[in-house]
Amino acid sequence: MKKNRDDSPDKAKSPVGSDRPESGESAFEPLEIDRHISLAANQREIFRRFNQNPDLAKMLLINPVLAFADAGITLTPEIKRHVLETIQHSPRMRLRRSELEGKLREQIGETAQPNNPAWVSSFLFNKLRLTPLDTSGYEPQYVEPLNAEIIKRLQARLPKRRPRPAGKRKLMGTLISVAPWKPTIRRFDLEAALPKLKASRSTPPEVTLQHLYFYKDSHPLVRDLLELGIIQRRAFPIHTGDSYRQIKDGNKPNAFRSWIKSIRFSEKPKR
Amino acid sequence: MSLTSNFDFCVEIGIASVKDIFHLAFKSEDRYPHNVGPITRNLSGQEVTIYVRVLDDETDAADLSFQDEKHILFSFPFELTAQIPDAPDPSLSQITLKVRVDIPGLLTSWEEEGAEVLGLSFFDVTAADVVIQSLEGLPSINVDNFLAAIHSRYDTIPHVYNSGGNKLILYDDSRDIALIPPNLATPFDIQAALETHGTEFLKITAPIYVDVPLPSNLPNYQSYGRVIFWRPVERTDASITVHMGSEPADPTIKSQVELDQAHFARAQIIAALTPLLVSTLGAYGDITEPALSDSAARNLLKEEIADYMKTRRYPVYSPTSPDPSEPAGTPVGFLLVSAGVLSILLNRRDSSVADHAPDNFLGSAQLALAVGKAKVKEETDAAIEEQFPDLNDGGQFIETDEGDATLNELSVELSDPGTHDQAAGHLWVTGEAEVHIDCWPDPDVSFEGPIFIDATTTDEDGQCGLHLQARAGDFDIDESCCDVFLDLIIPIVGWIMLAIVESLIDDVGGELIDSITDSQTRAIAPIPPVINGIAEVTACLTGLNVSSQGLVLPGTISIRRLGESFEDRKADHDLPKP
Repeated sequence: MKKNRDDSPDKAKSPVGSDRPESGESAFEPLEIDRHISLAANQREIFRRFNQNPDLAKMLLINPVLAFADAGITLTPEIKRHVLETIQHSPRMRLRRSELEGKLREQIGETAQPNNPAWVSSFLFNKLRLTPLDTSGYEPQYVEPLNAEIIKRLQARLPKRRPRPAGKRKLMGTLISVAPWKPTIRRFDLEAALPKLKASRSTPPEVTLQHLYFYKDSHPLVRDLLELGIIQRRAFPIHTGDSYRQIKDGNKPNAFRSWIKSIRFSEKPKR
Repeated sequence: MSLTSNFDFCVEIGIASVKDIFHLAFKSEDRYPHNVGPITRNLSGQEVTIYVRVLDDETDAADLSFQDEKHILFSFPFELTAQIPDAPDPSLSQITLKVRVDIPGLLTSWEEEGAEVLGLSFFDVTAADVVIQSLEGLPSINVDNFLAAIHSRYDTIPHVYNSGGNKLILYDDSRDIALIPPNLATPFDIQAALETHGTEFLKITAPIYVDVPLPSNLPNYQSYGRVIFWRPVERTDASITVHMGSEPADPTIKSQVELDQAHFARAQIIAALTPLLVSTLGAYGDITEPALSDSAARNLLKEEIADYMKTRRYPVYSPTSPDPSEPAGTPVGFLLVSAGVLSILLNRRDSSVADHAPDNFLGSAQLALAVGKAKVKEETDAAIEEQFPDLNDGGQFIETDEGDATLNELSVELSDPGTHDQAAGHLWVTGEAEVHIDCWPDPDVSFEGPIFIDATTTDEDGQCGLHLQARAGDFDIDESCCDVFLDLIIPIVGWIMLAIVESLIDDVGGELIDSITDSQTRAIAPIPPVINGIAEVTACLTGLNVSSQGLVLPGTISIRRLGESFEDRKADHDLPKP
């Protein structure tokens, strides 16, 4: 077996670590996957191993390479990279991420780090020499998670809204507000118009994506940087070996581990 | 176990709040007359004018209790003043009774001015339903009352009687100062005592003077003295009568005359005068005092109260719909006696079963509003159907930037605290999807987990508010990678809650607040903000609890007397103009 730390698609996080079986001696016959074709050829055996071990199958969502290792399946660095890249993004987003990373590297001469608030601050105010803005009290605009057609159907089900008669004394009841969804970075509305913000008296040492949003129209590179940051945050999370072990041992909570009941692969060809 | 029985919604209010509202509403003289009368009745031949004053103050507080599932037992203290101008005893011409009466009011619904109202009806009250808890001030007729009546009657009859040259003067203290000779008799005034001689008799001793001519040129016999006589007393439930003209047959208690002046003919004089005295005393006639016995008084009060109340009913609860063309559903009330809770069910869901009382879900809150599980399920199914219309038709294809999947199953179930290893009540989400992965056969992923509904209270300019936000359990808020999953799940619960809140506006009472720009803000009045035009009730919902039986929003109530304060009119832009 080989150490594959450097083959990880995200070196900073070292998501793969050692791909030795995390449970010590693997209970499975060793199976080595060194080419795409062998991955396809051994699908049924791979599926069988995960289907027979539901807990192990769920660990595919934590780190598929380490879950493969626990199933006695050794991947070559090339296959590891393929697996991780495939699961991290859809093809379209993977392509867009690659375009943005390349473009920004070319324009600014270094790897863009949109999710590093200190780096973003330096980029905005030292490199681009933008004026700091006072964003306090402002929230980014978000697009709704549901599409317009669905919202229209849902709205149609609600009772007709009637404004209260003018001059009527305020109702002595409770104002109830319902948030049908939670604002998330993945739904930043990049096309929304920004409010006119005052200049800030001080330069913030850190700029998160929520604050970077308000600079999106200040410079073309900022818009690209924001979009890259969003894509990075939307990547499927690949946990480090340490994190994988803690989640597997139940020492660290994880949403997928608790929410996903089972992952089953069809051992028969689907129609 | 049911929060809302066969209805969609239920509002529960603790008895303490019900009492507060009652006391405040009861101050409305227009609706609840506190001064009743004059009422004229004939009692034992006497014209009686009655005035009733209902009380509710610190020393004599009205009260209520929950008698059974449908009756509130009201306890009213009142003062009843009876005026009897012709009472033989002037001291009994006005008597005041203090009474505490329990009257059951039926919690029922009816239509009033086109609107369905829940209220209290006394239409079926009978005398048997009325309980006189206490009765004070009922006069106990004793010898003093008779004596006072005799004194009073003395003023109306002749005091000097002449018959065959004989003269008899009847004294009573100095009530007639024109009498000659003046009263020097013993006793000086008429005296009386009640005695029993087989039956009850009033023994009366009256001072007299006699002047009797004697034959043979003898000087007139003149003497002070007294007449002692017994008259039968007749008691009924309504009166006590002394028959002054009825000489007893018993020789031991026949009328006796005693003359002070010794004389050889005194015995003959007494024998001759006694018939005159008996005849004279007959002038007093029958002395009848209206004197209700305790049981008679109670029965009379019961009948009068039942007769007064049986035409009365009072609307209490009339939820207002924001749309007059769609009135709010008929409210139906139940009383949870042991828990001391008033339950008001709204929007009947199933008329195939008899209306029945819900569970007590009030807990320690002053008020709580529940949404039944059937209603939640209806809204849940609708939200899922609208968001995933192809779910039951081969699966709902879901396309996102992160990846695609086909959702094959999805359900959202109300769950109790303690289930699914979750301490708090939650919506348990289960589902199954086929996840589409590049270069790899699609796995079937089944998932399940809790969704909590976080309720946060707000206060803007004294207006209480509640913000509801669904939250997926076990998700780290910073796990933005999972947002794609949350964006599928959370809006379902969000729209369920939105639909339920909208339904509350229709069926419980409330409206869209136009001054609030946030289109997701609604105002809910779990109980009508104005009760009987006098009590202003502010109900603040302060939380949301989820259980397998539905949703419960506990809250608080503050009650104040309705008034046009400066702040109220300013808020309405209705300050007086110069």
